[in-house]
Amino acid sequence: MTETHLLLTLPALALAALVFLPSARANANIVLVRTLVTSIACMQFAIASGFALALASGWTARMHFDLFRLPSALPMAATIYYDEVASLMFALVSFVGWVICQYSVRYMDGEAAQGSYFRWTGFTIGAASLMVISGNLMLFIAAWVMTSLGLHQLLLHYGHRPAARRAAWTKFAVSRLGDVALIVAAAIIYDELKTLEFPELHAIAGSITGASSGIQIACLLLVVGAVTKSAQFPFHTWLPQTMDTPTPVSALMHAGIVNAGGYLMIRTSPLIGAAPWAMTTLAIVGGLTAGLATVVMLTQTSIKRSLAYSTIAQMGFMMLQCGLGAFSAAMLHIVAHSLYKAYAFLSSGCLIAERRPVHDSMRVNHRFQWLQIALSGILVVACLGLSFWVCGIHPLRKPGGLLLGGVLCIALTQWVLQAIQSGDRVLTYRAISVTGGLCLVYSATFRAVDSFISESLPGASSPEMFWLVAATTVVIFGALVTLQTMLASGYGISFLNKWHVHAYNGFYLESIYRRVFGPLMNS
Amino acid sequence: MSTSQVAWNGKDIATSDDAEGDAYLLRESICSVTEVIPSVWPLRDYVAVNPYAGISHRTFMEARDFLRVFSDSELLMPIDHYANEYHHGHLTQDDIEAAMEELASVGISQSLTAAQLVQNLESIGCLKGDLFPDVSERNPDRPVRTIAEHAAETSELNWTEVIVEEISKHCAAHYDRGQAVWGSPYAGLTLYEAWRTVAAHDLHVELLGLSGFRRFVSRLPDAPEDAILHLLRMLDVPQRLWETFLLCQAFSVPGWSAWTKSQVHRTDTREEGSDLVCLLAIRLAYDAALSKSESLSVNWKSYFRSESASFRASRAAQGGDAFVRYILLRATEIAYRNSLLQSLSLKDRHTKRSNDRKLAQMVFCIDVRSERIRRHIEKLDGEVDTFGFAGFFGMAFEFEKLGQQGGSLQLPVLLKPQFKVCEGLHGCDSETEAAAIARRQQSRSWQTLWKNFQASAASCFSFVESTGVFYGWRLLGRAMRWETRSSRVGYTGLSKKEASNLGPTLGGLAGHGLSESRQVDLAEYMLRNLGLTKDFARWVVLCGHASQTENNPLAASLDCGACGGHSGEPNGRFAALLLNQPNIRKALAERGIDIPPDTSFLGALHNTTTDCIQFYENDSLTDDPKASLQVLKDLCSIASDQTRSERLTTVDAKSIKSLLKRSQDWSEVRPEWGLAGNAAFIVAPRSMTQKMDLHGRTFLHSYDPHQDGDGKVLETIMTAPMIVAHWINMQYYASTVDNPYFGSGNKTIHNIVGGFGLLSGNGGDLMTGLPWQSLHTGKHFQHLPMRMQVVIDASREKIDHVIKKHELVSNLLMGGWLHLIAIEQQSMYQFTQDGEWKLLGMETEDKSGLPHPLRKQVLQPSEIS
Repeated sequence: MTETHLLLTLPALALAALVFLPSARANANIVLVRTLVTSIACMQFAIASGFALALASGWTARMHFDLFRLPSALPMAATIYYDEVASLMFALVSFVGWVICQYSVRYMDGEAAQGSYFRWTGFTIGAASLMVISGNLMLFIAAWVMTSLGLHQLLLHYGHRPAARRAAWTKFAVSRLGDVALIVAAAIIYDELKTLEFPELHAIAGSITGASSGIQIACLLLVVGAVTKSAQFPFHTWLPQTMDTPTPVSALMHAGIVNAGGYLMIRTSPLIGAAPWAMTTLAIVGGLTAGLATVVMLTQTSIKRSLAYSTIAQMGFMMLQCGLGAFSAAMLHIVAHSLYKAYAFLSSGCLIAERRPVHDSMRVNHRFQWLQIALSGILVVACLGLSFWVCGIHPLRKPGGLLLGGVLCIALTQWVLQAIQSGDRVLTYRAISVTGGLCLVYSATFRAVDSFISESLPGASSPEMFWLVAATTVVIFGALVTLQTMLASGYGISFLNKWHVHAYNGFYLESIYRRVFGPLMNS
Repeated sequence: MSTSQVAWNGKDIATSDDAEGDAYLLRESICSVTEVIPSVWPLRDYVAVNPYAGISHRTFMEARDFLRVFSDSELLMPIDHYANEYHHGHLTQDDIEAAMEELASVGISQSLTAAQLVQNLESIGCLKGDLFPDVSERNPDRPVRTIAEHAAETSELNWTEVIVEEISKHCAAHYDRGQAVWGSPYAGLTLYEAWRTVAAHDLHVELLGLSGFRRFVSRLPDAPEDAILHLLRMLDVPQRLWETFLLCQAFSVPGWSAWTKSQVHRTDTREEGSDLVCLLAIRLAYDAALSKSESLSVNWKSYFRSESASFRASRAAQGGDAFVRYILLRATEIAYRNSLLQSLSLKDRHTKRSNDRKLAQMVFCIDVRSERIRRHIEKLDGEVDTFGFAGFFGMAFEFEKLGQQGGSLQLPVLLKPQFKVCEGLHGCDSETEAAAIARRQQSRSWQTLWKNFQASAASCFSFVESTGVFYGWRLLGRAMRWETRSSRVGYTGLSKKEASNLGPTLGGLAGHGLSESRQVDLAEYMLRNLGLTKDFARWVVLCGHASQTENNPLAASLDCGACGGHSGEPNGRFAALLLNQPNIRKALAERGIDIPPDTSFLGALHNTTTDCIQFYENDSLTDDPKASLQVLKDLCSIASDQTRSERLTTVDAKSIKSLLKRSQDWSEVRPEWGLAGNAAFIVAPRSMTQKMDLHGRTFLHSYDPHQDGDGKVLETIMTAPMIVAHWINMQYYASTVDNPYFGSGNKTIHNIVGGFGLLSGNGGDLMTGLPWQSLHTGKHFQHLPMRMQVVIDASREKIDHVIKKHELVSNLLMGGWLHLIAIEQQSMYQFTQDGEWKLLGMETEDKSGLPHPLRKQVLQPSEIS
């Protein structure tokens, strides 16, 4: 290890070492602990963004080095692999971690257990940071489990609340399932390919044409791990129930930790790309989750629960992108969603103030007019096409490009259509110009992320039975658009009245989990 | 006094099998339940509510006994708290002795002597850490319980919790104000009908083990009253227990009970209390279904075996400890009273000090937070006199913001709005204003459109992908503290210059319910109640107040209670505008109030978080150079600075800069203390309290008995501002002693529901009252729970007159909800709970050399007036 290596890993190691600080000691020195943890997090953010810039501008090369290694035949080693993908995630985790620490200084002020809160927050951020820069599956899985255990302590911050205990232990059980899947997957991969190092795995995966059945199974197990971590159907129920924990913990969880599943997919994407069935599974689970969770989100009446279901849906969409082989798009989604969701949670108390000025809403004429739909559709496609061309993106050459571009087009078309239907000319012009701006921003950021990380990703891979995945996507988004149109216009919505109650209950998965895990909590 | 009477309430009228009698009895019971349940307002207009308002006709201890028959509610702090208080020297053995003596006369006594009690307190010692009483097992001997609570003994699942969650789920959907994009399809029905329709499909409770619930629901009667009757019979609840059992049901979901009850005040379309009836029916249905499915039957007979004895026994079991704590509560109040009264200067308070005309008279709200800044302003160079007056300045109106339909009610909840005031742009022609309105509407439409993009099913994914980067920027801005938002809220769509011209206008008042003669009445009424009818200064500033906080759902609880939980700015500015009108002044002169032509009224706003005072010069009368106004502004800015320095220690801030930052910090949970610490209400000329540091704990209402010959002003004060102050005092009291029922728990897990209320965490009951962070510093209570002491500078005769005339006031005083001290010349009299006046001691001398009643805290035997 050189000084550079040390600089890169030291803050994360320091944060992870907080586990050795007894909570009683931490609570006795609250001011010291919170200042220390926040400073380390801030330092890590500075270092992470510095390194990312250096890597992007070519000042430094990728790094792959040992953190520590046991002298044994087995791959008992913790290594670091700092490439473009890792640098982006590392910067993201550090940024969100720092913002959350800083937020918690005042937000949690006065709590007798603020010291222990900072201990576990720091530890969780440290573990998540180690996870994203880990160089092999060994350290990755270790950090993955550490993150989960750190989060478990944070979920039990108000352990006297039964709902907090219930959520924490449900999550605990689901996480252990994911851990087992990952460990078995790692064992199979080592057995077949004789290495757990990411760069070597990437190289091997690039050279093989058809993956063995062992690798196929290992990839499916990786998918299971990802699905449990990223709160995908049917393992999502713990996420909306974790609101008995302080707001910044929710922010950390939604912006930093649920991403881990998606990151696992991107990190191992060369392997996953070689296992088309795993991708099919991923895409269908992701698409299904996105659809169901969106419907549930629409019915939720409390801000935090609707944000939670929104996260589940967004993670589903991200998994769908992975399953389609659009790993760059998934990466962009992770980054964008983390920033958005962290902000949304931390500012969830603004709702009342923000509501105030919006008093009279605009009136939209929901008459179904082909001309208007066609007009807005053409406008949006033109905007998107133009900005793709400006940024040099060829949607047809990108995996899943057509489907994902289509989703973007539908979203914007529906929006522009609303502006046109309001009959307000200024509003329409404004919406159209903002559409242009958004297309450009999206294309530019996508292009930036794509060209930055594409070397760490598989060339071209697509899921098995692509038609099935495509059809699922089209059906789900078609249904969402229809539902949204019905809700906005009120046409035919009475048909769905009965379904409102089922959606409001999250389709009862939470009830079933509670029945199953409930007795466990009491003991 | 006996609890049993309270609980049974003599409901023996109806015999069984008498359907009509049953229905009558039920209606009676429902009426009583509705009366007991407190109110709650939506977050936007979060007004202080006295949770005990419905039971204040009972005495304090009777109310406690009453509540504890059917709930775990608690009105007294645990004894540890008083041990702590004793340890910190907040009460002495003398105070305890005084309290014992006083309470013995109303029948509250126990075996310990004061010395023994002190020994007990000493043995408990000083405690560290969180003193909030825990919710579990606070009232183990409670006689009346819900079926769900009975089921807890046998069932694995906590049904009480499940039922609360279910009710919360249904109520949130029913009352949702736009959080859900796909809202409940049945919001148009009554709560009961909506619930019945939904619960017939909802599988949740069946999945949790309450089998057959959907069928059970579909067989319930159509009307909620019938359903209650049906369910009560099904549960075999004896008629004499109906009211108590229904109260028990309501208190198992106190937040939503309060919410449903409060729906009454706002919608006149439905029958009064109808939503609460729906809630009771729903709550009972779960209990009945549970009793059926778990084959649980309650042995109601056990209640009857010794009907009066059973409840009394339970009281005796808690009684000993409760009496001790009650005595200690009274002792802390006596300790505070004595130190407060001691600091008052009774000498020469009615003589006028000088005849020089002052630079300014500043009128502040009676709010306790005004006390500090008033003291600092006065201290500076004696050029400014200050007054205390209810912060809506007697102007009870509905305020409609520019370009909005429907406005906020800028008045105490005691009153109804008399007219409407519209916001407008000062010094602009109507075209500019119309253009501004158009732009405002435009930007609002844009916000709606943007919101649709963000929240719609099909576009939420694309929204995140394309705008996420901007949120990263905003996160950075918030973390680096360069992005603050609140400054622009309210000015949407206006330029900076236009925003500075924004304010209430007098335009179209006659059309909005205020003719010119009524305008004059209003102006006169205000000046007379304020006691400002002569000797007007050059500037008369009407200073409202508001807080400035960020990311705070409970922001309205820090705003002006007299303005309905809103900023006092429009009221102060409107009053100033009105009083600057030449025609109004002319009419006032005819009625004997001569305002010199060079006196200018001016609206202002006291920001209670930063202690800055903003002046609204546009409202002033004269166009002449405002040099003298600049002097006043400079003065106030120095006073603001001194007030902030004084507050530094209370908010545990290191520097003034960090104190100021709190108003814009999105992670701040204690931006200011609001009215925490409030303990007294002083109705007297300012000279009595001037120069005294009252630590921001007193409401100060200006009152000059010599200008109030017939006692009309006193009557107004004692029936309006005093009552509102009492509510606030009780809100803080209840949130402190009984946070599980009447407080809103911990801010860090607050979750805004339906755009109108708060949940704690995932779900559970609607939270009402104040959060832990508004009462407790983390080390100790910032608010010490005490009942308010009212100090009035008026003759006992005049006060007696008001008490006799108003039952509400006499109930509060006789019940011990409020303490009253009259100051007559140099003597002080305590109004006792049995309605007598008791002279407070007159032995030693105060600093001025005159005898002071309370130097040595010995109470003389009463000398009845």
